[in-house]
Amino acid sequence: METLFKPQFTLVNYIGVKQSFSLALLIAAVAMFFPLLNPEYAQGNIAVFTLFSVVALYFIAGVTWISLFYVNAILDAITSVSPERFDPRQIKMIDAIPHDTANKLVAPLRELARINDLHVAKLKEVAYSAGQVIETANAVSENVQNQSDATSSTASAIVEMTHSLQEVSDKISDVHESSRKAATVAQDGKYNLDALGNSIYEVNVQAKQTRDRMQQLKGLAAQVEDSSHSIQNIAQQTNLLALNASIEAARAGQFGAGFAVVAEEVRELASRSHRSAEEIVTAALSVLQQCNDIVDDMANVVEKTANCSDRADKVKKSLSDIESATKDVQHRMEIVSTNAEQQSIATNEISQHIEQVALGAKANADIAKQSETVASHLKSLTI
Amino acid sequence: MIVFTALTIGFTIVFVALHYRRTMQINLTQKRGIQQVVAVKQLISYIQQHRGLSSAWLNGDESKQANLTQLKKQISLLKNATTSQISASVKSRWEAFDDHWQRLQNTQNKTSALDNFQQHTKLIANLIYMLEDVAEFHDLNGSQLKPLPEIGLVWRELVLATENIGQSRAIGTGAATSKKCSQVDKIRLAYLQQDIANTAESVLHQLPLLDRSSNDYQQLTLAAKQKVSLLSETISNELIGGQVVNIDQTVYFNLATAAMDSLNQIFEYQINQVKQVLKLA
Repeated sequence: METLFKPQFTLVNYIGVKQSFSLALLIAAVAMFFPLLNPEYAQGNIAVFTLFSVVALYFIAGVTWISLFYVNAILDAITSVSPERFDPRQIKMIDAIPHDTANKLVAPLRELARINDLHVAKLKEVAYSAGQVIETANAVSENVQNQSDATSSTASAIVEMTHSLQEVSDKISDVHESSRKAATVAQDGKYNLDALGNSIYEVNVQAKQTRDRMQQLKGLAAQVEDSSHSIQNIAQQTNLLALNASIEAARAGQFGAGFAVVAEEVRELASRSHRSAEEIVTAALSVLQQCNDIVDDMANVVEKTANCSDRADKVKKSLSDIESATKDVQHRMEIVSTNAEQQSIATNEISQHIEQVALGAKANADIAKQSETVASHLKSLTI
Repeated sequence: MIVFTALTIGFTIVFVALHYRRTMQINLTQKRGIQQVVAVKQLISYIQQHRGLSSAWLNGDESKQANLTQLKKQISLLKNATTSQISASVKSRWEAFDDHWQRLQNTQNKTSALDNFQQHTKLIANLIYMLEDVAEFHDLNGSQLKPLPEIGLVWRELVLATENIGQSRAIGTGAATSKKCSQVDKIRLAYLQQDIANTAESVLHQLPLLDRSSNDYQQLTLAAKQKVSLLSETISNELIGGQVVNIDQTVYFNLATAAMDSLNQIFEYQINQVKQVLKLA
């Protein structure tokens, strides 16, 4: 059929479908109506008009067939477009089809193709974004794993620290008890030391009194010495007088009456000597009394000193107890210190783990922020 | 017989007249089409420049104010001159562009840099579609321009490739300025970079050519491939791959602009080829 209507194709290609159809109709009209208008001429030229009529019919049949052919050609062109890469430019329209018609036909397909391209582009972006989201999720997963490890380590460290803290608590209770004992012992020591101070003060007072009395005794001893010198002098004078009296008595004989006076004087001197001797006795007695008092005082001093010694022993024992308690406290404090050191190490570990957790959390927060922006971007692509 | 001969001659004259009229109509349509294509392409270039300048201005670069004002005048002049030429078939797109452009200008001071970028990009996408529509409705396709069977690639792929570079220029310059490339920017750049690399590899080779031995065109293609490849590598290495953005914003901007210019030169070459076919050159 294409060969049969090839001239028609050529005509359509040159002047278009509508024009070809109009031209064919015009030829047919001439062929049909001219004999009617001029029958005589037509009868003389039947062959010519028959030929015209055949040509007209040929044109009409050709244009009709070509129209049908074009409809099929358009359908073939449209259905031949690859659905994978839908591109209206692949539709090869035959030149003869009016361009406006072809453009109007292809324009909606072009719009559809653009929408398709847009969706393909968005899908590409979504696919790439999904890849990024997967990477982000992997990063989050890694961070979470690190955080989990750090948290497990932290939990272990916390258990260790709890045990250590229990020990510390026990030791602190012991230290508290020891400290309480030490305080009691120290209080006893203070009491004993106070008593010792009082005793020493009393000893001091007694010693002062003893010193004063010794001074007095010394004065009395001086008086006794003076009295002794006086008695000595009197005794010497008496001795001389007695010597003179004996001499005079020897010379005077009767006249030695005077010697009676002398003898009286001697007696008087003897009397005075006697009184002096009595004073000496009295002073000596006084000295004796003072000495006795001193002995008594000294006995008191000895007794007080003994008390002081006892008190000192007690203080010494108290101090020894305090020292022992302090050593005990020191020992326990060493244990506390060791535990505290272990706690410090555990705390440092916990701190590091918490820091890791914090870093992981920050990284996760950053990643989450990125994921949020990517998700927003993905959402915007789907709008 | 005389009548028959007369009718035959008459029909032949009608046939020739119709053919001539049809040919002239197509030719006239194509000439109008190429004028509109050139105008729309110029408009696209202006809007792309406006996108970059307004983005810089919104990011605090007040020095761009004067350039923006001048560019707006140029856009306004071109828009007014093109309005009367625009065919009824793309009128709706043109009106949509006009309306969008007016709204974009009115909200220029109130919008964010991101929204500004997105609005400009939508505006340019509409113009790119319009450029292709203009070409198709004015018979500037492979079916009608027989010597240039793949001319459709020029109206779509080549223009889109230029726009993709324009978008990567805008995003990349922002990243190079802030020294930080966000995840979303990386995704966008990766997608654009794939398209740009694809353009360098395939589209440039498929573009129609009247004279295959043309030395000028080979030089243009070679230069464009080199510049586009360099830009593509820079995007991969400096913006997508690294954690920190080290490239200077001016260096990146100039690289992208050079790549865009090289593709625009190829576009101009293709326009000249079409003009040769239409006997306009």
